[in-house]
Amino acid sequence: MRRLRSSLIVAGLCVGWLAAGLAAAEVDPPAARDVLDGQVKNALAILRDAKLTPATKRQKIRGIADQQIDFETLSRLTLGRYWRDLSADQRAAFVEAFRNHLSNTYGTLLNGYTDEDVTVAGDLREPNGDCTVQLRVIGTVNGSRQELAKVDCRLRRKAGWKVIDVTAAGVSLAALFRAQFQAIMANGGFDRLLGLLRAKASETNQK
Amino acid sequence: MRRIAVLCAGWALIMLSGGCAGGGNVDPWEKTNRVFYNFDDGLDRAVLTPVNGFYVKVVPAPIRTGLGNGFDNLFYGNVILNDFLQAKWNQGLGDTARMAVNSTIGIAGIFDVASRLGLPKHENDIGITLGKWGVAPGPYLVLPLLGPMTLRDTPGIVVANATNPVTWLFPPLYVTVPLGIGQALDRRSRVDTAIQFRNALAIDPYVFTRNAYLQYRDNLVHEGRKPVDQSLYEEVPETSPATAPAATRAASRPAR
Repeated sequence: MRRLRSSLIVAGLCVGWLAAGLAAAEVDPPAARDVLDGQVKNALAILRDAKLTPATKRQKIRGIADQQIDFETLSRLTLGRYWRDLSADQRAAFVEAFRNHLSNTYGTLLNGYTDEDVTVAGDLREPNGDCTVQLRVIGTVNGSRQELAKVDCRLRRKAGWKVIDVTAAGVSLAALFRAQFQAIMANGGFDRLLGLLRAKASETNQK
Repeated sequence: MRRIAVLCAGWALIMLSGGCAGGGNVDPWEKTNRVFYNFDDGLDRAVLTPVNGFYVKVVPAPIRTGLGNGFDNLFYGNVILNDFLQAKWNQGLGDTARMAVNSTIGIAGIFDVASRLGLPKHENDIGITLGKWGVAPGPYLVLPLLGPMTLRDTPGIVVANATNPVTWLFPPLYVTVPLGIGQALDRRSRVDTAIQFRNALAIDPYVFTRNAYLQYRDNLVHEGRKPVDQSLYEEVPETSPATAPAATRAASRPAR
C-alpha cells in the first residue's frame, strides 16, 4: 500500500512536471539557437544522404530554407527606403523573385559541400531583440579536422524565429544584397531590378 | 631612393585626394574600375576557369594541397613582418617558428607540420597593418590581373614580393616562370568556390565583389571585433519618417 502511494506520488509529480513543461513550452517558444540547430542538422542529413539525387537534395534544402528564412523581412532590409514606395503587388513580386533567385543558388551549395560539420558555438541577444546564433564550420584541412569558418546567423522573431541575415568571414549577405539593390534602384529603378532578379533566377535554373 | 620617395609622396597624395574627392564615396574611380573588372572577369571565364578545371581534374588533391602549402610558406615572411609591425610579438614568434618548422621538417613547406604542433596559420599583410595604424582604406581599386583592392592595400604588392626569398635569389626564367604559373594555378583553385558563389548569387557582380571585398578586409583589420552596424537591421517604417516614431538605433555590440 505504501509502495502504491509512493508510486502515485511519483506519477503525480511526473504529470505535474510534464504539465509544467508543456505550459512553459506554450509560453516560451523554442529558443532561436535550438530552432536553427535543428534545421542545420536536418540540412546536413540531406546533404550527406548518398541515396538522394542532387535534384531531390536541392528540393529538400529549398523546403528548409523556405521555412527558415524570413524572405519578406530580408527584402525590406535589403531594399531599405525603396520598400516604402512599392505597391503591395510590387512587394509580393519582389519577395517571390528574391526567394526564387536564392533558391536557385542552393545547387552551388550542394556542389561545394565536402562533408563539413556545422555546430552551434553560442548565441547573442541583439539590442533590438534579434538573436545572433554563432555557427562553426568544421572541415578537413591537411588531413585533420579543424575550424574552417565562423558563420553568424541573425534571427528575428515574428511568427517564430526566422533567419534574416547570414554573415561569414565578416561578410554579411544582407549587406551584399543591399549594396547591389540600392545601386540598381538608383540606376534604373524597380522594374530593372525585378527584371534582373528574374533573369538571373531563370539563367541559374537552366544550368 | 629619390624615385621611391616621390612614389610614396604620390601615393599619400592620392590617398588624401581620393578620400576627399569622393565625399565618403568608396569608389570614386568606378568607371575605370569597371573596365578593369570586366577585363579580369573575361580573362577568368575564358582562360582561368577552364585551366583551373583541368588542373583540379589532373592534379590529385594531396599534391594540390602540398603545392598550396609550399606557396603559403614561401610568402610567410610577409605575415611575420606584419605581425611584428603590429606589435603582435607572440604571434610573430609563433609564425617564425611555424615557417622554420615547415621549411625544414615540412620539406620546403609542402607538409604543414607546424599546424599539428599547435602553430596555426595566420593571415596578415601591409594593408591590414596600415588599417591597424589608423590609415583609411582609401578609394576602391581594381587592377588588371591583380583584382580588387583599396589604395591602402597597394603597397602590399611590393612588400609581398620583397619578403619572398625567391625575389632575392634572382633565379633564371626557367625557375621563375613555372613558379609563377604554379602560384597562379594555386591561387585560382583556392578561390574557385567563392567565384562560383559570386557567379550564382550576384545580380550586379561588380558591386557584389566590391562590397564583399570591403567587408572582408574590414573584418580582417578589426579581427572580427568591429561593432555590428545595427542600422542594417532596422525596418523602414511604413509611414513617412516625419510622422513615424523614431527608429530605434540600438547600441552597438562587438561582432563576435
